[in-house]
Amino acid sequence: MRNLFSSSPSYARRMLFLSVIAGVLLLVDTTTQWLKPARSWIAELTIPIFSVALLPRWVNETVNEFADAANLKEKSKLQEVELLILKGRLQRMADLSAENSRLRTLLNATEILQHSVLVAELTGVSPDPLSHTIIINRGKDYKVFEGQAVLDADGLMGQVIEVYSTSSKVLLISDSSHALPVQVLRNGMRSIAEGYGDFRHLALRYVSTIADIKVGDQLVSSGLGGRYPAGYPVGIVASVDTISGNPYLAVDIKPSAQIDQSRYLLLVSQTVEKFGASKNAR
Amino acid sequence: MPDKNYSLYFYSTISLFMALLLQITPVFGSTVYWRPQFLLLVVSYWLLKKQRQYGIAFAWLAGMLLDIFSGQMLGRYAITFSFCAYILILLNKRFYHFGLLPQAFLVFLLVLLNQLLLASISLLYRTDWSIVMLIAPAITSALIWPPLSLLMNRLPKGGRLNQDNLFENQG
Repeated sequence: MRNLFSSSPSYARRMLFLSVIAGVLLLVDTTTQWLKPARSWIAELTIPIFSVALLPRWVNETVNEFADAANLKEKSKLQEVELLILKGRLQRMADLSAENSRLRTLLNATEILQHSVLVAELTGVSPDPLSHTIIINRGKDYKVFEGQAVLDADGLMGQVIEVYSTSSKVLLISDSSHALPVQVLRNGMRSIAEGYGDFRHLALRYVSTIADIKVGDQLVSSGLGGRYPAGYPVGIVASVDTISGNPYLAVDIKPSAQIDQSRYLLLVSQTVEKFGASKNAR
Repeated sequence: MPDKNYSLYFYSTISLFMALLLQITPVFGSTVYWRPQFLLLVVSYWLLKKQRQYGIAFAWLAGMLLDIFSGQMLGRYAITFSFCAYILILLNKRFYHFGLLPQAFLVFLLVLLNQLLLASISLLYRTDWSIVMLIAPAITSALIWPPLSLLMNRLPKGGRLNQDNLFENQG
């Protein structure tokens, strides 16, 4: 029975000691940048285990995809049609961008933005329900930089917040610490879309009750703030409600990107080209 | 009996690893709020079963591991896990007198305590904790505790949770 009495205070002391160590780490981590290099190589170490954790999901997806041949055939047919449509649009695009650059010269705009993309694959998802961050398999080796915009096939998904040597961490637009300048495609009205910790919803804050916004309006990134490139789809207005006593509308947005499902992502980088240089490229 | 301990460490490492995988496997939508605290449950199991081998430092290390994987605020799970471990060690002598259902209730309280601590630490820089995030993991953890502890009793290092450590702790 000796340890019933003698060891209890030592447990308390041990608990306090370890908690203080963790607490100091916590404060250093949240208030300073000192742990950043350590974080970088820790992130490298966690990647294999993250990919093991992702296995069941990939297996499930692959099995679903290849389970029946009919489904696969139909999918490939659909993709062929989609490709044809996109190619058709692309032909028009060449014409439009030529026209656009002519008009920009008329307006005395001196530079043109060229967007290039890099394909990345999802390798990890944060286990914390409050932090909507993911890990992707491109890092310094592919010249990924902090603040780079991340897309999936349907729309904007987030931005890179930490870059490691072969991977990087992406903050999703649905994270509750994330806000993104947008505009309504129909009339150019500017606003800010905020995440609130739900993968399937974003909210527009401080939209006046007399603002011209309707259900079904398409929202695109406005490019203000300098982080995101302009013109990428963000979402569609799903509902607009007036709340009595509230001077602002409650606007609910359904994100275009499949934020919690996409596996392959695009990293966009924009390079500014002077007009003289871009003429030769065309 | 060093070889016996090796197999014990082997099984505990494997079970911790499985719990970590369950904890970081991505799930769709808001189901993520209802994910039980697998790692805390497995840590609690080993703490209750082998109090001589596993103490607060073990819980602290497991918490640190989860911190590394959750990727933000390094050290908060370490704090909450070591506090929960401390509470468990204080309760240990009582815990094995209970059946599975009262144990599940205690697990509910323990995970709730863990979530409350996590929320209060997270207040350092974000305030968007909701009541669901406090209670949902506690409920699912309590539900999963009986099958989990029965399953882990089946490990070759076996024996029932309740009687085994009664004798070991007094040695």
